[in-house]
Amino acid sequence: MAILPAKNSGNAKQHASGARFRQRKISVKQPLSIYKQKDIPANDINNELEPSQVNHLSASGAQQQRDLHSIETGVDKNEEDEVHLQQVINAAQRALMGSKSEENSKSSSSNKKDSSSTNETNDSLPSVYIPTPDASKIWPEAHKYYNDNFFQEPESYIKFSATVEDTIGVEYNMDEIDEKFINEILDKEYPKPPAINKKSKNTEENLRKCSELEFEIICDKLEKTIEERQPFLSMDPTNILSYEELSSYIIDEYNNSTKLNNPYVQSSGGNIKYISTTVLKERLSKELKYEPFVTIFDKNNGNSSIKEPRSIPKLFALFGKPIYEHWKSRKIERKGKSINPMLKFEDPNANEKDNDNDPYVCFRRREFRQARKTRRADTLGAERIRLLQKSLYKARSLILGVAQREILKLQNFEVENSIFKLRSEGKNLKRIVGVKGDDYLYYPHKRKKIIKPKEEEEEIRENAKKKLDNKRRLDSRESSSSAMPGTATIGTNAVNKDKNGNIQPQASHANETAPSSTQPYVKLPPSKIPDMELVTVSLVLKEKNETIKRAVLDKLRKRKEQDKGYVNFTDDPHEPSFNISTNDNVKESKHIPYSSIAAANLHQINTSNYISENLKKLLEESKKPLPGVKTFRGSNGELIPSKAFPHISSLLQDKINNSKFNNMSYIAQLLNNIDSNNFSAYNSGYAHQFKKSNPHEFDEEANLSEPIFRIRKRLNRVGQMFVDRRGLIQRPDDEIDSFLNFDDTEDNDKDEDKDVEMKDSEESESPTNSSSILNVYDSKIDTIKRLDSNWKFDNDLSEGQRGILDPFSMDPSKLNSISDDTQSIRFGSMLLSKSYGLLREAVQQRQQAYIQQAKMRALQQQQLANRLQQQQLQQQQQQQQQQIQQLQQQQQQQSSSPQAVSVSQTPRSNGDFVNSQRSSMAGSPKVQHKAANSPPQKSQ
Amino acid sequence: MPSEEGKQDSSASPSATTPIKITDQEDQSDEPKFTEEEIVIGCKVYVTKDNELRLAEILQQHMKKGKRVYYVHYQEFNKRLDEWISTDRINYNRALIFPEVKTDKKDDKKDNKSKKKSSKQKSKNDKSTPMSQQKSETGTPQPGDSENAETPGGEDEMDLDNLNVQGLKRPGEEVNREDEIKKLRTSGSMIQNHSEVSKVRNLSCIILGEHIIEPWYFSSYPIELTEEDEIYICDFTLSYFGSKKQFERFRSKCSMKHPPGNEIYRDSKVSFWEIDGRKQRTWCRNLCLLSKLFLDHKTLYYDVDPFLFYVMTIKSDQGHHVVGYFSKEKESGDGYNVACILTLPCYQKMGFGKLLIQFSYMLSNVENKVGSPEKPLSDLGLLSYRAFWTDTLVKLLVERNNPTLYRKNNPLPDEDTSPPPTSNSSEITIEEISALTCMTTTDILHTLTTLQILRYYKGQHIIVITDQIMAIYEKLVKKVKEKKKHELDPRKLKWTPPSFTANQLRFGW
Repeated sequence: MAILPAKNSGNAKQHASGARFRQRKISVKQPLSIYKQKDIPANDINNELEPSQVNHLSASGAQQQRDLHSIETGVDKNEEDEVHLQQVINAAQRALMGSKSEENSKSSSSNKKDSSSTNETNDSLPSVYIPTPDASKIWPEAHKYYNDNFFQEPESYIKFSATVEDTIGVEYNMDEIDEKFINEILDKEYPKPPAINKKSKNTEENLRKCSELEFEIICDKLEKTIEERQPFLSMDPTNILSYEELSSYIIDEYNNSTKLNNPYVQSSGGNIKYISTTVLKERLSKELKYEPFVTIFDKNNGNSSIKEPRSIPKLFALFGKPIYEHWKSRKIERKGKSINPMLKFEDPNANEKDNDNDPYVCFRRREFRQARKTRRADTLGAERIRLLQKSLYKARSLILGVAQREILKLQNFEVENSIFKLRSEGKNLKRIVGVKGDDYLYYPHKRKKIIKPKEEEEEIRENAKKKLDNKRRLDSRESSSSAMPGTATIGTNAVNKDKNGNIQPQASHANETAPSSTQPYVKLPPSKIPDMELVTVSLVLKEKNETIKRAVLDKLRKRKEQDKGYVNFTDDPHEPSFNISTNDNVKESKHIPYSSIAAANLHQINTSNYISENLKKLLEESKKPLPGVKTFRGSNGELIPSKAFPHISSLLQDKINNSKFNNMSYIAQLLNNIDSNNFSAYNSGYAHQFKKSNPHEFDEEANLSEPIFRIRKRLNRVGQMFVDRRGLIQRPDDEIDSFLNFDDTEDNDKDEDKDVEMKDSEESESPTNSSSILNVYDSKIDTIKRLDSNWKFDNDLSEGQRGILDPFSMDPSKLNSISDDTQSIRFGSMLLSKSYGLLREAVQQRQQAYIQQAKMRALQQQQLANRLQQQQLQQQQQQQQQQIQQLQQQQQQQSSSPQAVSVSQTPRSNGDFVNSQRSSMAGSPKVQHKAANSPPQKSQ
Repeated sequence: MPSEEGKQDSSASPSATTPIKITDQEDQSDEPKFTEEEIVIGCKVYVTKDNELRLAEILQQHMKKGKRVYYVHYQEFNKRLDEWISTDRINYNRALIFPEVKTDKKDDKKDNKSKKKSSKQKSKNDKSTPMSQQKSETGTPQPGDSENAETPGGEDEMDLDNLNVQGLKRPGEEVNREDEIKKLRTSGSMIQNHSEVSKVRNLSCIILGEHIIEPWYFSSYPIELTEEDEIYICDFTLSYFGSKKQFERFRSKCSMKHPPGNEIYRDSKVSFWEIDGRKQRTWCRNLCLLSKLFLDHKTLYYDVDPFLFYVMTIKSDQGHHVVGYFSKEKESGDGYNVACILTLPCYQKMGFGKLLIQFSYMLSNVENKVGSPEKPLSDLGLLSYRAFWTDTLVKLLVERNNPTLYRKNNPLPDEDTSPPPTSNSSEITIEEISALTCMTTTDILHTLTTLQILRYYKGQHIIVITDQIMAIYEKLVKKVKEKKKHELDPRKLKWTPPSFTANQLRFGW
């Protein structure tokens, strides 16, 4: 604390001055105990307790003078002694001292210099105050000048930066002299009647008297202009500019203001001039071309009767001259100074002493030393200022744009208002006259905003995405159908297969865009819609639609979020489905390739990973075993016999009922078969069974085709029948006959008509039915039969069409939207390639095995050979050794018995042999070495 | 110690003791000791004031309605009680005291610049010519309702010469003045008694809003306005008009409703506004001119740029009316938190002054500084500050000594103007008090000694809560409880101390 030492020394001095007291310095950091008066013995209070510093009202009068000044009050020394101040201070002290001071004052009353005043203050303590001049009077006329009681405070604290000049309007205020001039001269003589030669129009404008405000506007202009043009007018007031000069200058300035590059900066001699708010307003008003231009700083008089002041050129034309004369005389009287009294500032021409000594000169500028600036600082500052200016310009243009827009809006409202008025008049007129019709002319037609189908498109896109797989299937079917009319050949099929990949995206794209163009609801022409808040059907529907849309979109969005990161790489993915249908296009299911697969697939319905909600519920609800599932009892492993599946039956009821063959549909039969454990269909095809169960229906429905051959017959006169066989392929007679005699299925044959037509008799031809099994490859009959039955598998409908007609095909090959033929070929080729592959593999394996074997054999042989060689070598060596040994033995035998030696050798050589056998695989040299030992044993 | 010297000076000069001596010496006799013609500007006579004889210094005289009137300053009375008196109040039975050669600082040299050129002081009231010539204008009858009659132009020029001569004649004083002006660059108020300051009040009446107020001191309003009987001052812009018509026209156009700054405090009774002298030059100048009417020591020598003005207002249907204000240097070298402080006379003695002072300390609290008002204080300023300091310290110390009282009398626990009751209740350092109250240690010691509660007991300083202090405290609490005393709520202050760059503080043009 900087002031601390000073303070302490000050205190010390003060204490020293009061010689009576022995106080030491007091430190601001020293803790001071706080006691209550009652805590300290009463004696101490009066005797020992000494005020740390003396006070004004100390006991002795002699002390008083010194003590009085020992406390710095901060009041000017010359004023400290003032009577009233002292009275108040003393009164306060007395109150503080309480009884003690009273005693003191009594005892030392003789010492008091001014006993009268002390007594006075003693008697009436609260009445002591410092008298001040009167300020209690209220001005009765105040309300006349402060009459707008509309002030309302915002909730938040007010922020305000406008200056006084901003809020006072025209700065010139006329006084009594001006008022007199207006009343006595201006109003009587001006405006001059326009009758002279001016246009008679606009008379009101020209005849209106000069209002006080207009007078002030003119004077304000004159004052400001003269100040700018003749700043030193006070030197020679009579040399004032003439009216012509002044007015032309003012009007020029007025007219040119908006033409300037920047109308808001006025510079005179390089200095930027302050522009008063009135000028600013005037310019803005001109720039926006809007009048009257009112700002929040303009006082709202709430008095519309006051006319807006006329424009400056007009005012000058009407009143300029007389007002100028009046103003000029005042100006000269004021010696060129401004008419309104101004504060006196420093006069740069007077000497410093004069400036300093004049008490009326106030608010002097402070001189200050210019801070040294570097060029760098300059450029930095300049850059910043430029930036600031730029952004300010931007802000300004924005604000002006807003203002212009609002003006346009206002005009729009005004026009609408006038239209409304006209309409209501017209309506009234219409009522009076009684004209009917054309009512819509009298209501405002609201422009309906066109709702962009953005959302719908989005929805469709989402849908498309969601059903991508579905669509792909559809698309591929379509494309394949279009590319494959009638019977598809293998070649085209393959091509289509390739194409599918390419076509798909396009097709799906076309699908996406197609529905978006259709608007579900027709809109009425706007003029037909009554302008009422009616809830129209379309509105309701639209709302509904939108809610649905929203819900769907929402779900899609959620779904998307869930699926985030999931990419479907599968090409033409198989989507398991629960397609159940009767296959009524294909009557002979045994011709369906791999019909057993079809059956098997149907058994897999329960393993499918997609189960419709209904089915799922059904399956979940009951604990019944599912078809194709064998259930074992958990306790003993006993097989629980599976029962019929009522759920599926009920589920299929619909389909079955709708089917033409409702009582014995394919599915029903299938189920039946399973129920009855009759799996014959697996061997012979369902159609056989079907036919067997419903012979009549099939007969009725028998398809007719072009006869394979025609035989003309005619009866001769005697009733003999001739059959014309010309043109027929050569058939074995027995075959024809067999055809002709094939009566068990041909009811037509029972006709007397001898025309033979090949009937749809497929069922009868099932191989199981034929009594005799023919050698297919040899039989010509079979060839013919096959040729003849060709048509049965042709279909007028293409695969695609069939798919459309019966999307719920039972055919498992349909599952992938592949035509039967393709499927069969594909599957066949697959089998072929598979078997070929297997074959090749097998062959290769065998080859390799063989090669390996051969190699092994060769190796073994080589090893064997090697071994043999070595053996031979060793044998030779051993023979030699033996010979030597023999020689030795012979020598030894000659010396000892040879028998003992041979016996001791035998067990060792046996063990060696086993070893050699075991390690021969590894072929270690040791073995060889050991083996080398064996021959003697062998030989032995 | 300057105070000691000052004391001796004043005792040597004709101080309060002097007249007593004179009365002792001279018996009251019926025979006149002097005539009216002998009265010159600068001499002292006895004047009847409030049924009391007072020594008064003649500062100015002129003719009003054919009668001579004098402008007198009463000895030992504040200048604000200076007034125009007619000759019949002068006691001719007592001696006329002429100005001494070595006068005290109250010497009036050119105080009489007053109204325009109308200075009737042809007199060289110099000490060199104590018996100056008689007023030449006694013979010139002044027409007039206006008390400031015009004088011939010749007189005017003479007067100016005199002023200059007087100024030159006092080399010592000139130095003082220069020092003073130098001091002004950093502070806001000026010691009153330099030669320049006019001693004569130049306006007779102002009408501020609906209040008719008599000015106390001279102010530098345009000299033309001094001719007017009453000056109309707009309540919101504080613009001044001598002409009623002008005022009427002005009011019809003026849309200002409150001081042109940011409101930084608002409660049910008052609002405070912060106004930058640089940004609101006109308004602040107007405020200064107005406040100069009531502040003797205020100077208008320099412009308002270096100051922030904190203006207190009360609200009515028409807007916010200025009640008082204090100015504060943007950057105070001496640690002042108040430069000038004023409650307008029409709102005085209503407790607003203490609110202003409290607010100044609230600001210091936000700034985390201690502060003190700029010296010299006026008499009223001293009393207000003393009262505030007393209240603050009494409350603090009593509640520190007795935490139960703190809890009882401070229903708002988060109010941090009072000491937290947790700290050691029996001891406190001056520094701690300073930190809690933002008062300077000097002001604290000053107040403690004034209250006589800082005592020397058994070898150490202690603070004694006397019964009188308790009485003050209870009175204070009672006042607050009965809502007789309005207290500012620091939580309603929305203010961040403005900061200025060195460039902004250079205040040149």
